[in-house]
Amino acid sequence: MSFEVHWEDLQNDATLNAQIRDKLNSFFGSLELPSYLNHIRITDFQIGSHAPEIILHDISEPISGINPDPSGPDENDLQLLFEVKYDDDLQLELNTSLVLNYPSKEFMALPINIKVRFLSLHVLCLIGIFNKGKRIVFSVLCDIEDQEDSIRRQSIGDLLKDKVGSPLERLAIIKDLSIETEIGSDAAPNLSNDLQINDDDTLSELSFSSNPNGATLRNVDKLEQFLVEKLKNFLRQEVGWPSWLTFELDSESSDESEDNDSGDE
Amino acid sequence: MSFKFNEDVFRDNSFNEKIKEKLTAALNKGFHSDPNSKSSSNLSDLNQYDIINDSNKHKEKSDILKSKIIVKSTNFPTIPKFEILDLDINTQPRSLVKGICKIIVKDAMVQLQTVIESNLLLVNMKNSPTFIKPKLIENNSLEIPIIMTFNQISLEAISNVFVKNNSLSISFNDVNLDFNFDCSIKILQNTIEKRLKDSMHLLFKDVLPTVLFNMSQSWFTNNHNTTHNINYIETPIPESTTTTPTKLFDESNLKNKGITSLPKTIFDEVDLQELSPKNMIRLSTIVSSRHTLSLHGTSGLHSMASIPGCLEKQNLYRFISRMPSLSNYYSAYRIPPNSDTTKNSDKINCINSNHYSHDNNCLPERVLREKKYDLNQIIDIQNKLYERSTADENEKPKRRTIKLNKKHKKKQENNQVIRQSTPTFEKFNLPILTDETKKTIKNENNNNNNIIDDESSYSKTNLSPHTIFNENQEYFIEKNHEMLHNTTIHTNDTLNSEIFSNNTVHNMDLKDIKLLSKKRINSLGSSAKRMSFVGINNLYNNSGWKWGNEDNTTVLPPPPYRL
Repeated sequence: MSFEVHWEDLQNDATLNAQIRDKLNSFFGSLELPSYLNHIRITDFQIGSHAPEIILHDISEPISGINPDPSGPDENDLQLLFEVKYDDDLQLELNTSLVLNYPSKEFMALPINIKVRFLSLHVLCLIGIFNKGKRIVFSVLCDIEDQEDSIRRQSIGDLLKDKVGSPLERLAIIKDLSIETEIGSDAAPNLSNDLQINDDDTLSELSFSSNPNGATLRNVDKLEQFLVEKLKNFLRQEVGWPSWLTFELDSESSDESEDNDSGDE
Repeated sequence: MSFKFNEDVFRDNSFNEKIKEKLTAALNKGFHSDPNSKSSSNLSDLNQYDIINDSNKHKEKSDILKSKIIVKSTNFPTIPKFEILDLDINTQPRSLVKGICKIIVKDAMVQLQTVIESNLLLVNMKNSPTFIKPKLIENNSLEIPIIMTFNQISLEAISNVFVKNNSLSISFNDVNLDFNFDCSIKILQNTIEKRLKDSMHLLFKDVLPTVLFNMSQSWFTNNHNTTHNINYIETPIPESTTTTPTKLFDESNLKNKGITSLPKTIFDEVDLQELSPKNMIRLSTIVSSRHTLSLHGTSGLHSMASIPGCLEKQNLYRFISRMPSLSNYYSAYRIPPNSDTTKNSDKINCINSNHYSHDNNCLPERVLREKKYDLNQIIDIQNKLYERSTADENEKPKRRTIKLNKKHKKKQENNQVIRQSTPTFEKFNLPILTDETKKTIKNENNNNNNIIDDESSYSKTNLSPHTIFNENQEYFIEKNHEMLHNTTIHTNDTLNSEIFSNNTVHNMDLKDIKLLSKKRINSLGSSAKRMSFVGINNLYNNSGWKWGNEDNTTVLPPPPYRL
């Protein structure tokens, strides 16, 4: 049993994208950032062109471990088993800056622009609904291997075999994520267009050019890998089974809360 | 510019004021040894200038400087540039950030004022006999104020920056420094200028890097005292297995109290003496057992190690391949990586067998499509893997509670981290086997069907692989491991390699079931010590696998090993 999502309607809805962006921004605005971070702002958000595939596999009584409520199980409690597949070119642009607070406050800042261009995940999720829909428990159980993965495995399988002793990863959640980074202040708009055409070549020239705005460093491979790894670890720690997120809702029907959960990803 | 400087600071002159103040304080920090001056230096974080000062003016300061060095004015009309030309981040084996930076400072001006003492008639009378004492002695000082102005300072430098765990090191590769020097005492101008320019080389090559390194260390340790300490202690001793844990603990305690200057003793000679000769021999046996160039198992295909209870690195892949994972458990459902060409060789050659590939722990899609999954099984495998992945046994999985106020249908500021509940996995509700299904299992056992290899038998009997093991919880945990073991290593076993499925079915003896059902597996969160060693018990019984070189007849308990 799978859900049909009218994605086309969402996709062309500019206000929705703006709304999501604003909400995320207000969330980031509320966070207390460490002193070396100035702000986190999302400058662009576009949901991708394909709907996520959501397949409901099972509705059953919750397994006993998952209910954090000490008052015990209720007969209305539900457990849903979802398969979520998302393989799309969404757009998310995030802006932050590293600050040096010496010798004076915000003396020097290093702007960092992060663009997320592609996200792929295929996971089995568990959603528990307790207390008449007021408490939602969400956890990602495991990754699902599909056709593309096995092809990928085939191509790099031999290489992996030599990694003797590499620990087995419990969960990846994010299969693939492409991030583009841009370090340094934004160059003049006309310049940035030039840069995108030929990143590598122009980079070195620009760095030493007499351009008053200086250069930005683009597509730092290692940094991108680093960020992806951090994000993976974060998700694994927060929602990867046996960890889970519990949402406490004040007055809410269960349907809307699911939206919340999937929106988390 | 890559780094953006706060332009306001430069525009409203506050930067000039600030740098003046800090420079003055720093330049005079070494001066408090002189009784005439009151040490006004309260800026401990500025010791960098102190060192520069020391090295550059060490002799002059102690001899001829008569007053503090006062920075009369500074001026930075153009904003400096700080560009990053290249960046490289390494997280393995330890975190390291490498960068190439370019620093440009232009048109800066610094004006210093001080008083020097000069006395051409000075007679040093300390150790001289009185009879050579001249008649005229004028040992009073002659003080001359001096103003030095550095104009049009332009600095262009390319530097390598390394940020390791909690320190920053910089090396200046290409430094272009130029300034106009103007001294109020013209006679000294050339000398001072020459000396200064000579010492610049030393400054950039040695002094400044040292200073920045020291400063960064004090910064990191002060600011992130608690967070970085553990790293700090662990990094220098990645392999010191002999260090007593109490020692480490003590040190981290001291660190947390802010006592950072204590020297760390990591491995004392006393520690070595505490090891008995017997232990030393054992250790050396372990070490010498690794003296091999072989990339594969040293002690034959059937034993994991030459020393009982010791897992050798080159055999680790076997161990890992037998760990319960979704890919293992549902391996029959996986799309074989090279489906047509090497189907047969897969079974015979253990090295090429895909069971050994360390791919990720994924549930094959087909399992879901064909509804063959067992939620409890998946959960159990994931729990096991989690247990292994955590270094600390008491580490609990994160379970945050987020409160959503749905009045506005908006994610309100999530009041996070309300609680972290204690995990309880003691019992899952397992389906109870009816008599009918039990019968089918028995039939299954007798039929010697190709359970794993032949999928058609699955569809005929409509029996999922795990149903067999649902007798009770304890049993199915154990049993599955055994099955995993068989699915993964059967090709290794040359004797039984022809019919893999036979193996599997044989192992599902009812005798076995009774025996194994008594065993309890500690679940996550229980306080008992875990002995999480997978499927080893069964190895002794059937296929001749063993740990180390002990006899087949004696069944040893599994070695206390955790990944």
